[in-house]
Amino acid sequence: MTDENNHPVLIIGGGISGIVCALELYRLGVPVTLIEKEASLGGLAARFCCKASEACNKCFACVVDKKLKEISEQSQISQLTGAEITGVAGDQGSYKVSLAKAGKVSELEAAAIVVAAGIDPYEASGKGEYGYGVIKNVVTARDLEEMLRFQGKIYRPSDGKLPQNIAFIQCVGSRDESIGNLYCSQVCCAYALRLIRAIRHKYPEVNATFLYMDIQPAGASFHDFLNACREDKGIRFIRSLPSRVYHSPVTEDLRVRLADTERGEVVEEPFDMVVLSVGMVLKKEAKPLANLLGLGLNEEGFLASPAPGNGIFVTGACAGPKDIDRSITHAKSTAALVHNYLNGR
Amino acid sequence: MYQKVYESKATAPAPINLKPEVLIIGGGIVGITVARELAREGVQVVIAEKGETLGGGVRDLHFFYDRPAAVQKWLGDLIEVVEGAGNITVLKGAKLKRLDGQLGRFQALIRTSEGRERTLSPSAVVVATGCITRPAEAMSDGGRCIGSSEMEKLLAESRDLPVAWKGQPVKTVTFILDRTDDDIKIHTVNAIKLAVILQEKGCQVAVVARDLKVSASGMELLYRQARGKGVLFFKYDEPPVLSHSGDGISVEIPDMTVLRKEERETVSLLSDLVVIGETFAADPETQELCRVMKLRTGAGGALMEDNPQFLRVMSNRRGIFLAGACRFPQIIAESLSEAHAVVQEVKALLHGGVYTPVNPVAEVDPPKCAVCYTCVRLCPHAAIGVERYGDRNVYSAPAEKNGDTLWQAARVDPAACFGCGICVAECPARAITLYQ
Ligand SMILES: Cc1cc2nc3c(=O)[nH]c(=O)nc-3n(C[C@H](O)[C@H](O)[C@H](O)COP(=O)(O)OP(=O)(O)OC[C@H]3O[C@@H](n4cnc5c(N)ncnc54)[C@H](O)[C@@H]3O)c2cc1C
Ligand SMILES: Cc1cc2nc3c(=O)[nH]c(=O)nc-3n(C[C@H](O)[C@H](O)[C@H](O)COP(=O)(O)OP(=O)(O)OC[C@H]3O[C@@H](n4cnc5c(N)ncnc54)[C@H](O)[C@@H]3O)c2cc1C
Ligand code: SF4
Ligand code: SF4
Ligand code: SF4
Ligand code: SF4
Repeated sequence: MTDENNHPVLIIGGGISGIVCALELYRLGVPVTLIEKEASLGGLAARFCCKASEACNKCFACVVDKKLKEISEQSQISQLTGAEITGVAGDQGSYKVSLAKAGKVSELEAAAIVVAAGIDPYEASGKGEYGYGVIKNVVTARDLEEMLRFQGKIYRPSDGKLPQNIAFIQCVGSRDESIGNLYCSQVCCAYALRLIRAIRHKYPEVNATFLYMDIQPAGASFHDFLNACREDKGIRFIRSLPSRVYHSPVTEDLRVRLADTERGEVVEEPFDMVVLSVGMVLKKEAKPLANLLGLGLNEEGFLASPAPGNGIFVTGACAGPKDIDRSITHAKSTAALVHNYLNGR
Repeated sequence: MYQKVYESKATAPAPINLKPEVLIIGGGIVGITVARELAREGVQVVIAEKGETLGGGVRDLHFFYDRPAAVQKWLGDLIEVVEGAGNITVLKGAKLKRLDGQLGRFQALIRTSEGRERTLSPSAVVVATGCITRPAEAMSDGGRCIGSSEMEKLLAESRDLPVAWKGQPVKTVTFILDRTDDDIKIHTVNAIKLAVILQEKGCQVAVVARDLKVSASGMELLYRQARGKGVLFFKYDEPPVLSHSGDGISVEIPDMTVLRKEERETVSLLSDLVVIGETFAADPETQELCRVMKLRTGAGGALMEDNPQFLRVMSNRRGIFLAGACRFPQIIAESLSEAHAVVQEVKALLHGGVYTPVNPVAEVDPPKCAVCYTCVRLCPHAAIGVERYGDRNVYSAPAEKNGDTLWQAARVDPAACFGCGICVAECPARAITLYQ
């Protein structure tokens, strides 16, 4: 391994964006140090499940696994996990970064810094009316992803039974004035519908209701996928976001208060389980980091692109909501820009 | 997974030299961007644009949704850079007639509109041929239904004056979205962007959509801004009905804000102009291009990546890349992000100046080949050709050419082979082996 104190590029954040940026710079012969505060690389997307039904539904979760494998085989990229940045000194072209890893403090030098600090899922308890954290059978999509990935099944948290009737509530934490998140998270329509298709494939007896404002498209094959969803008799589309979720403390069954535009009335529909399609917010740890690096936030609350020419780059979902695919594309293009910068172009 | 256990072989395939020369087909915003970035790296770039001007679809745009800059000025500056760069050659009225060879030794024959021909030998080819738009369905009299680029032009030309159309003032405008292309964001972005400008100029604007596609940076804020300025938004499940009414068009939709069906009234939006987004479609000429280049097309004739998850922006042939609207119509920012990803792929490919196959590679044992062309037809990566063979085949009779006997055999180009194993499984003569 080359002397890691002298790698010209430091990438902060080992999610899919940071990993891809590191791999791409490595392809251009640029030595890189990748810093991740968690014990392992992969970020949020490394915990998602495969959402294939009859065929692959292009959720891109497996791409993260593949990139993780690629980087684990790459001893030329120094990968510091469980490490955090505690200070940044110096300026343009020669930064001195202090780093804490397992209580030990060290210092690195870098000509360029790439921030790929990522996102957090929206903290769903912030929408009290949906009862997350209070009502057992209200889960987030992220909980559901992890259930499917790590336990290979879905179940009601209250009794472990297979829910027969699931409601997906969209836009939780996004496009919402009351919490000040005035942006669309861009991924939750697609991931929720893919989850629904995957669940319906695995458990054809389970019915799903998709409660939404607008359906956001997701790339080249989305048209056919959406048509397949609309033709699926087990999926109901209702254009209405519910106002409240109630539960019976005895059976833990749920009732969702919503305006059913099909039937033309406000109803309280019973469901076995409610899934909140949480959006994304800038990663908590990204803010102190932004302060250290003198980065600002954009009007949607994500990291603003830094002024060109000072060797600091922002990539992936921390620069604004992105799915895995677009995070990868962004990280690739960032790698090319960093390379240009290092070569004085 | 590979079906066969592959053999190992002592002699690795020879590395292939790659000169820094790239051919870009299509001079839209994606082609221009890739050219500029690669030229900065010292790559010799040729842009082959079939039209007489660079810029593609962006030439019809005047306003960005996310910044105040004028689109044509921005585009003009970019074109100037590209046309002035020493290591970029722009061929206009140019079409690719033939593409022979493989990665590192492509031979491209380009014919320009004056009938001149040029042969290039690029190391890699970038396809950025965009898409075409079909005019919005007009009403029978070709009347007050216009496409969104016409609206855009109208607004750009009106400058500070009130909006007028064919000399008549325009007071009410209705945008109708999602009658076709329900998976494309561009229409929502365009409609809301133009609605804000129109409303500011004193028009009353309504936007009628199935889904408002605000999944782009800053779009939710723009949507709220539009509502704040008085733009009306209606959503439908059944497309609205259009009819003539006096001098305008009446757009009728059920008022979905009223919940009870029986009480739901029909709203009719009397509009001086109705704007319907153009329909995006694959350029029919792309079919011919793909035949020449042996590229795969997907739904509706658009270009398709070989593997959208793992081999993003790469075509089914090694060394040929795709980006932008030829794959899928996207907003400018997303198209450009793809363009930059292609730049990175090309940089990484050319880095070091040689390509050495890393995957298993198929090889034909020429005496065993029966020259049945099965593998040539089936190889998804166009890696196999039939070549002259110096010795005798075991199973096949020689071809006759000008009275000479000519022995032939299939040959896999190791630079182009992905090691998928299809040919190995399908060769009736069992003449092909995968080597690691
Ligand atoms: C519920 C949910 C479901 C989703 N489902 C899908 C889906 O099905 N398909 C899809 O394409 N996309 C999906 N997405 C989007 C996907 O999660 C993102 O596109 C992806 O995670 C972005 O990757 P990233 O690397 O930019 O950020 P992250 O995955 O957030 O990675 C950032 C990494 O940086 C580290 N880090 C942060 N700050 C520091 C610091 N100061 N020092 C060191 N390390 C730091 C973090 O620990 C983390 O490992 C979903 C998102 C959500 C919220
Ligand atoms: C009406 C309309 C409105 C739009 N509105 C917006 C908007 O508001 N906001 C936004 O962000 N985006 C908008 N877009 C999208 C934006 O224009 C596209 O993202 C962009 O044009 C894609 O660029 P491209 O280079 O991939 O393709 P194009 O711009 O289509 O360029 C392709 C070029 O390739 C050439 N070509 C095609 N075939 C061949 C061939 N066989 N050989 C040689 N050359 C060939 C063509 O002549 C053309 O010059 C709009 C597009 C349209 C059409
Ligand atoms: S559904 Fe997702 S994880 Fe499964 S194969 Fe397809 S892209 Fe990969
Ligand atoms: S992607 Fe869909 S669910 Fe997510 S914020 Fe946007 S509209 Fe709401
Ligand atoms: S399939 Fe086998 S026999 Fe037929 S052309 Fe190819 S190598 Fe020769
Ligand atoms: S293994 Fe055979 S079919 Fe597959 S890419 Fe190589 S030559 Fe083509």
